[in-house]
Amino acid sequence: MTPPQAPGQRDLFPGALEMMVLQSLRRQPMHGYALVQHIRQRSNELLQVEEGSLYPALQRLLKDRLVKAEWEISATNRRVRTYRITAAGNRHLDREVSRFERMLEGIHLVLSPAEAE
Amino acid sequence: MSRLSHFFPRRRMYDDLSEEIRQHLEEKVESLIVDGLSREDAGHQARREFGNAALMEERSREVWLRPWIESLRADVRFALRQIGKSPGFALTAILTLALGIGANTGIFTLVHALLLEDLPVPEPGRLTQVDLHINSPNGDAWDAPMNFTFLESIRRHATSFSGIFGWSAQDFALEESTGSHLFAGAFVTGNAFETLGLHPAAGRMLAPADDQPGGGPDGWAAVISYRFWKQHDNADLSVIGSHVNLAGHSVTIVGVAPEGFEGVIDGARPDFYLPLSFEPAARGAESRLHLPGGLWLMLWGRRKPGVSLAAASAEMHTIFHAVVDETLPPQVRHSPVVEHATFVARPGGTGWNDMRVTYTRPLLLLQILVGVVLLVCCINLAGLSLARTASRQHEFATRGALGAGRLRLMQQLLVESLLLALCGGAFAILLAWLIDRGLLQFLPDSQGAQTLSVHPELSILLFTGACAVVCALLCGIAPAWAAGRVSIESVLRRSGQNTTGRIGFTGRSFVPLQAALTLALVVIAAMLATTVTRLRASHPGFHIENALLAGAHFDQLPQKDADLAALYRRMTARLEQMPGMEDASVVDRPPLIGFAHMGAFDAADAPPERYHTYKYQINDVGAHFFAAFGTHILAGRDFANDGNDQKDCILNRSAAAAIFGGRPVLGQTVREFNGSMDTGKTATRDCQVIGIVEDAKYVNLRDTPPPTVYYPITAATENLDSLTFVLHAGTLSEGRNAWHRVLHEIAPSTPEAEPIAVSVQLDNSIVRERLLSMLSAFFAALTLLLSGIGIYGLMASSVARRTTEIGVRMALGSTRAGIFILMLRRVTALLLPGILLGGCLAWFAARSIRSFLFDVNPGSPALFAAAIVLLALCGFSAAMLPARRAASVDPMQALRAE
Repeated sequence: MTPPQAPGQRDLFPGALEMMVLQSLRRQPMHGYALVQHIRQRSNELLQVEEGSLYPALQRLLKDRLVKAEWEISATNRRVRTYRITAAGNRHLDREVSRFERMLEGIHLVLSPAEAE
Repeated sequence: MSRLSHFFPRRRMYDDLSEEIRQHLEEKVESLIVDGLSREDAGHQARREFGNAALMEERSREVWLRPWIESLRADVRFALRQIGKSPGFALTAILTLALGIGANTGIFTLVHALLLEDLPVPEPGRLTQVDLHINSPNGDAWDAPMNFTFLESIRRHATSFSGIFGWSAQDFALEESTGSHLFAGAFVTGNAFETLGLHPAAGRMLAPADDQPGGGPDGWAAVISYRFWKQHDNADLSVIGSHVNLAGHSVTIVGVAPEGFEGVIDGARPDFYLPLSFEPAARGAESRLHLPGGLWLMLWGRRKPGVSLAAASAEMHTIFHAVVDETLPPQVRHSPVVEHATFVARPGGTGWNDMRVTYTRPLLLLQILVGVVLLVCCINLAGLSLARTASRQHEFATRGALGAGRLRLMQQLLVESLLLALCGGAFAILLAWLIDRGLLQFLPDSQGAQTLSVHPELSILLFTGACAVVCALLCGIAPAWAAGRVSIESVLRRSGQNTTGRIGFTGRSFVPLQAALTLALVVIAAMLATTVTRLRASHPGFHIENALLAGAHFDQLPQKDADLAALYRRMTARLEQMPGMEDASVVDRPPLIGFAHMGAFDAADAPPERYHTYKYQINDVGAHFFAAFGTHILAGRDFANDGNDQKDCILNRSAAAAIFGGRPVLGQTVREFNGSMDTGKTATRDCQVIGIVEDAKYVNLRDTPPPTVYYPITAATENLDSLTFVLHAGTLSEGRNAWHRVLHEIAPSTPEAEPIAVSVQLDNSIVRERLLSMLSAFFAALTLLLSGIGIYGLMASSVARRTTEIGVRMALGSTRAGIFILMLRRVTALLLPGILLGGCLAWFAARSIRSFLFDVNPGSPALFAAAIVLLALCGFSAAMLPARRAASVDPMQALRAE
């Protein structure tokens, strides 16, 4: 069986959301709502992540022990589940980012018209 | 978090998730309100931007589910639907499996209780039974218990054990306000409970300090069983420290044994444990405690950690001669019996069970038989579901076309058969319980429910589960394989047609295989049944009808010796006066109790021999015994039994022939040689032959009647306080009434025992054979039925498949009779290989069960022929209906359907 496909990933490639989440968490621990806001702002509102699709992604990261979660009280005095990146998550993110950069480079080479034979 | 902990607190994890999503939406709504939206609009927008919350939650949860669990869930759901669609098939399958698995579980429960169940003590694996292993000069070998002098000497020599204790079962008469009642008990050495590692439920256990001549600090100390404490004393703690009168002595109850502990001898279920040093007090002159020759005390040890059973056994073997030299008198030490004996260590963790000797092999045979029954069940179901698979080819092809892999299809079918097997297994547990209850009731009281505690247990449930899984695999593999092999294209191309498919070689080979196994079972059942018939019909040399045996318990009577012998005379005389009573007498060893008193005899004038074999059976009988028992006096006369006949004896025909050859016997003197194992001296006893009687079986119905010497009951008779009355009356109830009346009249204070009919005693003595015969007959009938169903199923589907062909044949001129014969020929073709294979199987099987048979030739052509005829009859009658349906096919209809 293929893993369930979140509709929010329609315009992203598989794993992109997870990568962004990990990158965000590397900067600072956050809860779900804050993560959505953060991704949206960082991408200059270019990426409209469907908010709900964040949760399956977070569960996948939890399952693979790339992040850990704890219930805390937020600055706004709200009970929130805060996610933190783990050591394994850090390593995974580095690997994924370099893989992603190589892939982008490849795509760029294929797409760039100057290199046409 | 480990993977395992992922699995269990899933509930909490899901709650966290829901809570988190709820909080997210709330926060969103609040921030939208801050941006100026109304609460209602904010709610709508938050939900829109979030997406389908329920779906997201579901997706998030699915992350944690393994894909195979998901697909399994789908399979189970689909399988339930499939089963629901064909309830007939499901019911047949579940019932068949319930019978097969139930029979296996039932027998396994008994095997478990008899052979596998550990004593409820810490580290039972280190418990060891130490036996005297005797090799008799005639080639027999058996294990015997020992005695106290051996125990003391072994303790001095053995180093393998952290403790060695002695144990001997003994019934005690407890004096109560309602009279004297017998309770099971045991003599144990003071260290027994300590070595076993048991702690009391109340009070204290026996300690070495209690096991002193004359008693310990509490006088004679006794520990009672938990069961006795509950039932008899209502679990009252004040019973600790109280005194009771046991075996004629005042005894202090010092403690209660832990719950569930029933002693080390299965089924003895002692209620009173007393120190071994109480033995001389309880048994008086009969005490054996300090005699070196008796074999009555079981020895148990707990091996030191790290000492293997083999090492302990080897040590016991090495110290044997040292122990014998220390304990036995020289003459005994060099007797052939002792020279060929040794000590052995046996595993003791499961306790000792005397049924083990009798029932281990029959039970294992039964376990094999039920295993075969289960195999036949599985073959039957495999055949049935294969036929079903054939008719579901279209479904499989469609699913294959939609992308289901071959393994996926196989998994689906295996899940279906597993579901059926588990349902069957659940019913099987119920059935097994019924079977066991029935079987235990079938056993005589002395065995059965008393001796085997049968109760549900994890290991039995595991066995049932394993049976179910194996069945599911056996029934499911062939159809799953066939389903996986379906060629999508060829099936779908025939789409729309009635695609019933062909049953391949595998399907056709099921019926012969089933027939073969069935034939083997039927042959074995027939042989075991014949054995019982032959045993019952074998002339035992005594009355079976209207004869009763009643045990006397006169050990607490004031009368002893000559007075007691006179009491027996008075009682038999009084019994004979009772209405309906024909003859009454007493005997030391009643027939068919499974053991005998053996002795060595020779003519008094024969040249002295060095070694006499103990091949003669000795029995002490009262006057009229032969009349009451129905054993004919061939020459001479009966005992007068007037107290002056202690020099008389009566021989049976075999004994007369063995001692005197062809010489005249009456009036001759016979000499008994009795070597004492305690002193090594050989005593002799001379007696004059006054009569010769016909041979009678004694120990069991299987053996040929042994040469027997009968002595009269006298004051010196050994077990004078516990002889058995033999009553021959017009009817059994007259005999019973007479017994109770006379007992009340003459010995009212003695414990009452219900007389047992000789016919019951006879049936009890062959209960093993009857059990085997009954069960194997039941299993054979079951497999015959299953084979019939199998043949019916195959023929019916074959007729359905070949309707067109039959139509063509008829159109071309075949008669209905011709078609009928054609179908029967097909059955023959299925049965013949089965009969050939089954014949071979049965031939080997019958040879391997030879020791269970009596007067039956394991190659008996008549029995084989009868079994084959039975199987063929069953096969043909099963095929009759489909064959007639084939013969009644309307050719026009059949061809039009094409």
